Amino acid sequence: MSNSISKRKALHEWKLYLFIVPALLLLLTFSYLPAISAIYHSFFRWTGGDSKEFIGLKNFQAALSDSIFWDSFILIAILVASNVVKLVPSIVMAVLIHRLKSDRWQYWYRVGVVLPMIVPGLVTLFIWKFFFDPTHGALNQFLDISGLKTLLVHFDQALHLGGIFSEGVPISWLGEPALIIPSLIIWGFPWIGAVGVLIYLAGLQSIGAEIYEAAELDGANSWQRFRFVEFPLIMTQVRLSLVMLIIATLQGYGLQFLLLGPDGGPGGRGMVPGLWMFNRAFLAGEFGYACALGIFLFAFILGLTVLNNRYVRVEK
Amino acid sequence: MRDKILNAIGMALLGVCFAVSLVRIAARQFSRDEQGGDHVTIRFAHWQLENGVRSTLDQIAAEYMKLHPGVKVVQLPIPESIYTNWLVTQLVGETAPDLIQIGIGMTDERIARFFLPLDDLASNPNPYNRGTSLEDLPLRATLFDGMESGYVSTLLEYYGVPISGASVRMYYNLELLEQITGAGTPPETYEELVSLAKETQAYAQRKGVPLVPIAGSRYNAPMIMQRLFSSQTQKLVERLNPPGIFGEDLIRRADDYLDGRWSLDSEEVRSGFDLMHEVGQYMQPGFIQLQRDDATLSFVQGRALMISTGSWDATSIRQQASFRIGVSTIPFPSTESRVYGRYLLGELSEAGTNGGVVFGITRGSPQADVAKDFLRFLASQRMNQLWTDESGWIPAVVGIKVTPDVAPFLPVTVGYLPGIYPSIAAGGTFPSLNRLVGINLHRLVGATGDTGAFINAIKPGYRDALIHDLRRNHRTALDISQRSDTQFGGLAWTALAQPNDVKAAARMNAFMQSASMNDRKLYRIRHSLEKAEVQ
Repeated sequence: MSNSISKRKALHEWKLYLFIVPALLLLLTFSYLPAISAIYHSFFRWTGGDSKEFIGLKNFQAALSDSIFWDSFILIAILVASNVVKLVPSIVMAVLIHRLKSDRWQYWYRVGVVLPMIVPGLVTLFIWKFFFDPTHGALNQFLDISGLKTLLVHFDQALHLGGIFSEGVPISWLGEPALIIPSLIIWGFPWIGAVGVLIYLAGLQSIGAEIYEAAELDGANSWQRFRFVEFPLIMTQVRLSLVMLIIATLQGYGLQFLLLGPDGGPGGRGMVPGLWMFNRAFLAGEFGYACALGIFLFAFILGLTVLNNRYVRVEK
Repeated sequence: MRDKILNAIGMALLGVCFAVSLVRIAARQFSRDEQGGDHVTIRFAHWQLENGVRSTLDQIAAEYMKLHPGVKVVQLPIPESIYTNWLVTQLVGETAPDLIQIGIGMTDERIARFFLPLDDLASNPNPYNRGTSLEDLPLRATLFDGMESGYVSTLLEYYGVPISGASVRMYYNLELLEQITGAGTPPETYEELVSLAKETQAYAQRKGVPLVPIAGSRYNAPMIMQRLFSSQTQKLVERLNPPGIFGEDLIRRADDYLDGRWSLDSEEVRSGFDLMHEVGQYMQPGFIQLQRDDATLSFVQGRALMISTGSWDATSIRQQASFRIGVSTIPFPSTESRVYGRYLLGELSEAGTNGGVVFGITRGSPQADVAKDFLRFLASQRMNQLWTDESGWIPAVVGIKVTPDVAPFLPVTVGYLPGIYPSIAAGGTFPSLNRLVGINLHRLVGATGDTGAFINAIKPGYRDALIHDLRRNHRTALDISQRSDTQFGGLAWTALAQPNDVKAAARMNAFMQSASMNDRKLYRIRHSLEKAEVQ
C-alpha cells in the first residue's frame, strides 16, 4: 500500500510533471486515440474513409450472432492452454542457466537464448511454414526417417481417423482441417522464448543467497529447491508472462494469417478472433463491424486479465 | 574510468543514430513538401513484383524524367499479399501515391470516392503517340481492349489505363516431357492431359523420383480448376440467359440460383466439381496449403512437369528454370468426351480479355496533371514496346511487335464464352461465397476428397452466403447512389443556371446515365433480395 501525500507536497515540484508530458502525448496519440476511434466507429456502418452511417448497436447485435467469431474463441482456449504448457521449457531453461556455476557460461547461454531474437519474427514464421510443407518439409522428412510416420498411420487406423495419416501420402499439416490445431500447437518447438527466459532469470537472480542456504540446511534436493523456493519466488514473473501470453494469443493472428491465409485455412479451423476482425475489415470492407468485434475482444481480454490478477496469487 | 568512457561512447553512438534518423525523416518530408517548387515528384504503386517488371518500369520512369527534367518519378512496389491493407490504409489516410494499380481490393465505391475519372484522357489522342500510326486515335482506341479494363460500367466512366495484357496458360518442362513421352508435344485436350498426368505418375514411380504432374497451390490450382468448372457450365449459362443475352451477368446468375433455376445439384455443376476433383488428384498432396511461390519452386526445380499460371509469371519462371519451357492454353475437355463433353460448348475465347496492370489516378494527387501525363507516356506505343520487350509481358497497345516468348500468351480470339465459377464469380464480388467454397475445398480435392461430400458441406450455407454478398453489393450500390446526389445537385444547378452551356448539359446527361446504370443494378439486387426473403 503506497503512502498518500498531501496535495501541496505533490505539487511542490510541479515542473517535474512536464517530463512525462511527451510520453503521455505519444501514448495518447498512438494507443488511446485509435482505441477511442475504434469505439466510436463501432456504432457506424463504416467501410473506411469519410462516409459512415450511424446504426447504433446493430454491429454489436450482429457480432453476438456471429458464429465464426464466437467459435474462434474455442481455438483461442486451446491455444492459451497449450501456451501455458509452453511456458514450462522457458522456466526450465531459466532455472538451468541460473544454476550454472560458471558466470562465463551463464553469460554465453544467455547470449545463445537472446540471439534468435534478432531474427525477424516473419522469417521464423516462414521457416516454420517450410517445415510444414507436405512434400519437402523438415517435419514430414523427420517423421519418415524416424519411422514415427508408421506409428501415426497405425494410430490413424486404430482410432479410425479417416486417413489423415496414410502410408505413401505426405501429411498435409496445414491442408487437413484435423491437423491445423496440432500444427498451431507444434509451432515454435522447443518453445523456449527468449523474453520469457530473461524475465524468469531476472526473477531467479533476485532470490537471495540466504534462502538457498536455508533450503540447503533443510536438506532440500534439486527438485525441492525448485518446487519450494524458486518457482514460488518467480510467480510474479510467471503471472506477468501469463497476462502477456493471454493478451498476445487473443490479439494475435499473424501466425494463422501467414500459415493459413485470411480465411483460416481448410474448414476455417485456424480462425482466431483477430483474424476474423482482419477478414471483415480488409476483405469484406466492414470496418465498423470489425471495430465492434474489437470491442468484444477488448472486454474479453480485460476480463481475463482481472481474473488472472485476482486468482493467480503470488505468495510473498 | 573505463566504464565512463564506454558509456560516453555508447551515448554518443545513440545520439548520432538518432540524429541521422531524424535528418533522414526530415529530408523525406521536405522532399514531399517540395512539390510546389521547381521539382515535382510523382509516385506510382503496384503489386507486380515479378521479375522484369520493376526494372522495366524504372526504365520507363527514367525515359520520362529525361523528357521532363523537372519531374521525379518514384516507383512503389507493394507485395500482393498486403496490397489490400496497404491500399485501404493509404486511401483512407489520404496518403495515397499519385498513381495506383487498380484491381486487388478495389470496389466501385472506393473507385468512385478515391479516383479521378479519366474520360478526357480516354477520348483524346495520346500526344506521346505522335509520329506513329496511332497519333490521331483517341487513347482508348490505341489499346487492344478499348480501355474496357479501366471502364467501370456502374459508374459509366473510365478510371484506369492498362499497360499490359494477361492470360493464363499451362507451362511445361519440355525436357521432362520429352523424357516421359518421348516427344515434346503438350496435350491439346483435357483427356490428353489426364493421360499425360498418369504417364508422369508412372514414370515417377518407375524412376523413384519425387515428381508430380501438376504443381498446385491455393493460388495456381484455382486457375485450372475454375476454367475446367466453367467448361461444364457453358450450356447452363446459355440456357439460363434470356434470348439475345450473351455472356455472364453475375447478379442474374445469383438471382437464378435464388429462384431455383440452377443449384449445386444441377448435373452441370456436379460435373464441374467432378472435373475439379479429378484434376486435383494430379497435383502434389496437400497443395491447398501451399502458396504461389511453393508451386513455382516445385516447377522450376523439376519436381512438377506442369504448372498453370499467368503470363505475368513467364519471365520469372524462365529466369529461374534451368530447362526449356513450353507454353500452351490450358487443355479443355473435348466436345466428343463421353464424360465431360455433354455440357460444354467448346474451347474458350479470350477475345473479351481485358488488359492488365491498370493504373488510376487518385483524387488526392497534388499534381494530377503530371500523373495523367505520365500515364499517357506509360500507355504510348513506344513505351509499351519497351514494356513487352523488357518485361516479357503482353502489350496493351495495338501494333506492338512481340517476341516468340510472348506470342503464346496472346489472347485466343476464337471460341465460346465461359460458364459460371463454383462461387459464381472469381474475385471480390461474392466474398462470402468464395470463403465458403475455399474453406471446404479440401473435401473436394484432398486425398479423400469427394464431390458429394463437398456439395453436402457447402450446400447448407450457400444460399445464406449468397444473400449476404448480395446485401453487401446492394449496400455498395446504394452508397454510390447516395454519394452522387450532391454531385447531381451541383451539375443540375450549373446546367439550369447556364442554359446555353452545352458542356454543362452534356456533363449532366452523362452523369444521369451513370447514375441510372448504378440504380439499375441497385434495384435488380433489391428485387432479388426481396424475392429471397419472401421465399
